[in-house]
Amino acid sequence: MLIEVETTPRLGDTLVPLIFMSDGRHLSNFAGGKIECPAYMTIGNLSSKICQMTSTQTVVMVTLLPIPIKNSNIPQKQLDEQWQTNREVLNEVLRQVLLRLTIERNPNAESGYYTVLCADGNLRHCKRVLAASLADYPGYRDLHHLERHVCFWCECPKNELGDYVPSDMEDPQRDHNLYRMLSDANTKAADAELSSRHVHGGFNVFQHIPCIVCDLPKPDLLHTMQIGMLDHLQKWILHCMKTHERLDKYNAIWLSVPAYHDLTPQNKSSEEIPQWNGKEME
Amino acid sequence: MSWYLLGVVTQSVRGGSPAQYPIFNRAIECTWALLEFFMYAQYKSHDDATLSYMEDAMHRFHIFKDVFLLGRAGNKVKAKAIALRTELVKKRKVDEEIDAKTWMQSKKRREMNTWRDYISHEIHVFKESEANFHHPMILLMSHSVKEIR
Repeated sequence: MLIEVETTPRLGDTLVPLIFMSDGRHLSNFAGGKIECPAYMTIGNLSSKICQMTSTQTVVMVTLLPIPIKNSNIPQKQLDEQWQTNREVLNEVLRQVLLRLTIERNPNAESGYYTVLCADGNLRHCKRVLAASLADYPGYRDLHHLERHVCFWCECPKNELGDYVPSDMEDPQRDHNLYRMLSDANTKAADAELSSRHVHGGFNVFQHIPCIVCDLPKPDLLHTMQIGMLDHLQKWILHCMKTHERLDKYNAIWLSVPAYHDLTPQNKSSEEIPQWNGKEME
Repeated sequence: MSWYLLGVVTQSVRGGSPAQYPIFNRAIECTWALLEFFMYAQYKSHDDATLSYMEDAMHRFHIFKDVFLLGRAGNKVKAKAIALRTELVKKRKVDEEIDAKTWMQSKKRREMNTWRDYISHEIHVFKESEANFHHPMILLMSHSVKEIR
């Protein structure tokens, strides 16, 4: 069994917060939409000036996450089994990647520490910690072993996902330590409890990392707003215009928006554009 | 796109009928609130004031979002609505077969129009009752404010 490592730094230590990022990348439309899903890593000690220079190579690719095959027209039972296999494969890949970073089999005082010659010429005793991860919603859902259409930050019921929640009345955060204990218990009651919290059973590498897992995801403007909510808003507006017979007028005004500074004029109506990217949404 | 979307929407809905005014006003308010949230979210740094503006924009979005409820009707709701329409049309045909022989042409036309309006209304009510905003992205927006804080 994997054992957690103490992450409290000692005096003089340098914390190296590791930030992981992953997203699907569309490669080709030929032969059925080929994509790849690389996972990248960077550290949080870098200044933003250095981070943004491509020549400094501050972001490195650590692995290519497995892309599950597309299953269509197969029975639901077989599909569930395939999804279970996909989750196991993904977790095994992540375990291999994260094992060397945060999980130790035989922890001791020096576990997780390493000495680094830094750019200023000094040697530093560094401790690496998993600090943040950036991914789109399906990415987080798979990484955290959750069912579809649930929040990865809190245990909000599925039928309250779209309701307004004041900041002082939020649902409890997801407790991955509890999920690990329930998963390890492997009883019917534990499985039922996991199921009621919309969590898949079985091994999940994030449940064995000494950190608060639901603190890892950070606000993501691209996936949440630009190609998330604004894309939905666009569709809702189009539907509303269509219902009230305003679509022609809407499209005419849309196409008549002139060029101005970074604003490029549109040559297609909004419903003719199959997919927006983040830059176009700005 | 977000820079001019509100302007496009506002201009598109100008000059509606009095019955459409509240709907269009709510659509503008909802679009405004969401775009305002997005604009604040793009700030490179935040303080209590900007975060409270974001929460206010989020609250206003939730107040006015119902205007787009029909746009949230997904494929399952649409399939159910089609099934309901088929069922209602069948029911209408049965009524038609029973009574149509005794009806005059004008009466038949009136009855057909009544049926059509009734079916459209039922489908509309059904879609409104079935559609919802249960989408994780909406909750993630709320959490973003907390995570930034």
